[in-house]
Amino acid sequence: MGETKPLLYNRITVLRAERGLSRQAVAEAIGVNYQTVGYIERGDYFPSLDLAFRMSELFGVPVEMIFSRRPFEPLSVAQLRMNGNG
Amino acid sequence: MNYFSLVERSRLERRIVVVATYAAFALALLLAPYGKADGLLWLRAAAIGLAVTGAAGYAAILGYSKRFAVRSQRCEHVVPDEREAAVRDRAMARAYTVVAVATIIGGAWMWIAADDPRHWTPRTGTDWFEVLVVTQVVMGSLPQAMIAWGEPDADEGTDGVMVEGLQ
Repeated sequence: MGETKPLLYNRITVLRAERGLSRQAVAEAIGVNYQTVGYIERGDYFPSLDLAFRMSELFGVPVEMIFSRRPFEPLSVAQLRMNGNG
Repeated sequence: MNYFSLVERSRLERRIVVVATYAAFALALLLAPYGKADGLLWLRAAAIGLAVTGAAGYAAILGYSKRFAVRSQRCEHVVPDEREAAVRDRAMARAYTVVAVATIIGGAWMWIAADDPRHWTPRTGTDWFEVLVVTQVVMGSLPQAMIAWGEPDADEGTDGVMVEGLQ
């Protein structure tokens, strides 16, 4: 059985790591079970718009910085490009 | 760890409980008619023991899935989140399909075999009681058993924040 590719990519793992948040902490902040955060991170579950906006508020970034229909480029590359060095 | 709770159990352990529960009920029903004969008290005892084992597993499965099943807004700690509600609804839909198909097949079998003594169909009160027990057990536990079977291990998702290359 081949692994199905997710249709919705996310940066939750990176955003959590940057802020030093465990999945449990994120789950409590947005009001879901911690396993649900893992499902979303792995692309096994696509959150509702409401949940996506709760994540956006928690991380302080726009929704499109957390979720995308296309694979994300590394944040460092994006930062370089924004600074005009890439 | 609470040894009677499935909440902290791994997915493998939960799957073993699900299989053992249904196997215990099925064996209890198979053994029960033989236990009625004199001198086969041990078979009757075994059937009762298996039924009790099945009932314990049934209770454990229902207890594990309580978080997914309770809809009351007054019990916030057990209200399912949106993924859990989706899992619950999907499990209930699948269980309904299984029960509906089994009912149609069972009904067709009874219609075909009702007048043929070579084939088993429920005829006595005991037969109908067994059909009722099986229906009750399956309808009452199948959605929860599907949830207990499919949910990931409890420790999946409790990891820290380590991501390679990030400090």
